[in-house]
Parts: sequence; C-alpha cells; structure tokens
Amino acid sequence: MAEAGNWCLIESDPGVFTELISGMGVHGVQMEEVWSLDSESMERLKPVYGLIFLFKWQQGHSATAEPTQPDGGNDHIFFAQQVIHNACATQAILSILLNRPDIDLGPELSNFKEFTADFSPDMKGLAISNSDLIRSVHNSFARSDPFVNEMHDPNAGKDEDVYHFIAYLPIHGALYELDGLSQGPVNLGPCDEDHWTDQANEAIQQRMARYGDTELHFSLMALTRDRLDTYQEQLDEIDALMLSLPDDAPERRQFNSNRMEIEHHMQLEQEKRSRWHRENTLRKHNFIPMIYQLLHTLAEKKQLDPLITEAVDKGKKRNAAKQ
Amino acid sequence: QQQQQGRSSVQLNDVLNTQVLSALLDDPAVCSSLYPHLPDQTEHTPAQLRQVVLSPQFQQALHGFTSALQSGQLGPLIQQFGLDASSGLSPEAFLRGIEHKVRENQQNASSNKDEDHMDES
Repeated sequence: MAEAGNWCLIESDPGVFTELISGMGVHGVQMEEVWSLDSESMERLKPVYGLIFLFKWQQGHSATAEPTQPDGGNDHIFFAQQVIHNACATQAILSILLNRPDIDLGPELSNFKEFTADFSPDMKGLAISNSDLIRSVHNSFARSDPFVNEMHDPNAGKDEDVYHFIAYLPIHGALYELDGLSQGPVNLGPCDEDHWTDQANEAIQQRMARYGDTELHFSLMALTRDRLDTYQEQLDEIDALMLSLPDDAPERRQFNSNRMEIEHHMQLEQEKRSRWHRENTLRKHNFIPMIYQLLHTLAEKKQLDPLITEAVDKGKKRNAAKQ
Repeated sequence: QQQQQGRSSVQLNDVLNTQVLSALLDDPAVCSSLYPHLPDQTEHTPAQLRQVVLSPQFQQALHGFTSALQSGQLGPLIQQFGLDASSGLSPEAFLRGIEHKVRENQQNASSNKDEDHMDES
C-alpha cells in the first residue's frame, strides 16, 4: 500500500473514535461498542447511523472473495478506496459520516465532502490521506513517546495479521456495504431505517462465515446519536408532559420514576465519558521518563539484575515456541 | 548483530510486570519519585499513580518502547538518560545499561565515603 504521509496506528476503541469524530468538528454523535446485534440491544442504541465491522485477518486470504461490480447508480454515495493502511478506521468512520445528511458535519468536513464529491473512489482515498484536518486529528492519538511512533507497527510484518474495517449503513433506502478494499459500494438490498441493523447482522454473519475456520478476531462499533443528547431530550419530554398535569395526578409517580431511571443512565454515560477522557490522556502520554525511573529504582534496590535474567529466559522460551 | 539482539525478544513488560510494579508502588519514596512523570492534571496521590501505572495504556507504552528498542536505533534518546549509546541497541542492552550505571554510581558513592567527604557538587 502506498504511503502518503505518516499515519499512526490507532486503537480500535469507542473512546478513541468518539474523540476523533468530535476532533473533526462533527457534533452530536458518538461511537459505541456493540456486543450483540439482536433487535433488543440495537433498540437501546437508537438512533444508529451506521455500523463498523472490524476484524483481523491473515494476509493471503482474499479480503473480498466476491468481486463487486461497480454499478452506475452509485454516484450519490461517498465511497473511498483505502490508500493507507493505518487510516482504515478513520476511513470507515468517514464513510458513515459523509453518507448521512442528518449528521452535523461541521464546516471543515462539509467542505471536504463538497470538494471531493465528483472524485473517483481512488481519488477520494487520496484526498483523505492528503487532508491535513483528518490526518492531524487521526495522528493526535499518536503516542508522544519520542521515536516510538516512527517505528512501523511491530505486528504488521509480512506474514502477520492485518486489520480491516467495513462500514454498513442505509443510503437512500438501501443497505450498503462500504469496504475500502473493494472496487465500489455494494448494495445489499432495500431496507428501512428501523430494521436495517437486522439485515446488516446477516451480512456480517455471512462475512464471518467466508473466513471459515481461520482465526478471526473481530468487533463491532455503532455510530449513534450522542447518548447524552438523547437522554436530555427524553427528560425534556417528560417535563413537558408533567407540566400539563395537575399536582395530584396519579401519573406523576410513573413519570418521576422514568425520570430517575433516565437520570441514572445519564450519570453512567457521563462517568463513561470521563473514563474515555482519562484513557485517551494516557494513550497520548509520554511514558518513557516514568519507565526509566521505575527501572532505575529497581536497579537501586538490586532487583533489576534477576528480573533481566528472567526476562531473557522468557524471551527464549517465546522464540522456541514460535519455531 | 543488531537484528539478532532484537530477536532475543526481551520484553520490558516482563520486567515491569504487574507484580513488580505493584510492589514498587507500596514504597512511598518510589511514589514521590514518579509523581513528576504523571500526565498533567493528574493528582499526585498513591491511588492515582497506581491507576496510571497499572493501566493497559502503560503496558501498551512498554510494548511500544520495547519494539522501538528492538529497532536498535534509539542510541540518541538513550544518551539523554546518561547511558552509553550502545544501550540503545536492544531492550536487553538498555536494561543492562541501567543496571551498569546504577552499580557504578553506587560504587563511586561508597568509595567517596571511604575517602572522607569530598566536595559534593
């Protein structure tokens, strides 16, 4: 894959993706990890703008077993071919954002969408890799440890695993699969806003089956509306209803208990946001001085030497196991 | 050869494992020495420190630093710690470099004591 500038490898984590999206100037959305695609779990996440299926596959296995024929009617879809490997998560996120007219993209991303509208898929991919905004937000998740980022991903060697992201979302009444390694968007058939996730679920199951018994690590993320906004709206609705009720109305009790439940969810969401923020701070922190201080202390306590010996032994065993 | 030393595949994570870290953090003097290295806006308390040092992100940083050391190109960075450039050749060389430097300091300190008090500057 061609290298267009330096793109660091970022972690597939809802907290990372959410900060990345808001860093690009997009408002009112967040990313959620999805544990199950059954209707009940999806109901709790609604509204869902799109799904991202991410998995690790062994090179040599074809990513797209079925060739996809680009059909002429796809002009209205933002589809970009993947040019840079490390940017594929960011690209999957963009595939959803730029195909949902109901998302507030913010000025910079709106400009980008307009600017690239008539580009071919490979030019769109290049435009992403050349965008200063997108690259700088993506790279803000680089570790600040000097030198460490300039190294290639240790796990991306020739015969090692590769990460791959595919986006699923409804566009103009049809469910689409957008895979940066394919030739074009794949139309999976008509769908409606309420039930498209069930269809996506089927498509993802089929995808997984295609990889047969090769070891497949995967996860699923959903791009949803900002949960805090959704909860706030629910609270406002209840408040408005209660305002129209007389003080002694028996319905008040039920409304109050609903209110408390929503407030509880809101608080959990806020705690999660603080946790995400804390984790992101640690992801970006330069830990080398602390690592050095710890090792230095171990040496002063005369504990380092035996630990080195143990680590050498462990390393040898690991190497022997590989061969 | 560099490459070969890298392949000896010593992991910093094996040295600074959870057990070792946890024991170190029980020592208040160690905690004090680590506070300046916490991210900004992190409280300087043993509990906060423990949370940071035992986080998955710290372990990831160890992995990242290990693979950077395996590249054998960290000489210039390593010299900032007052270590010999050759300590940047592999994770094992880095660890041995720290061990060597501390032993040397301790020997100097004790021989200075023997020779009465020298000028301490």
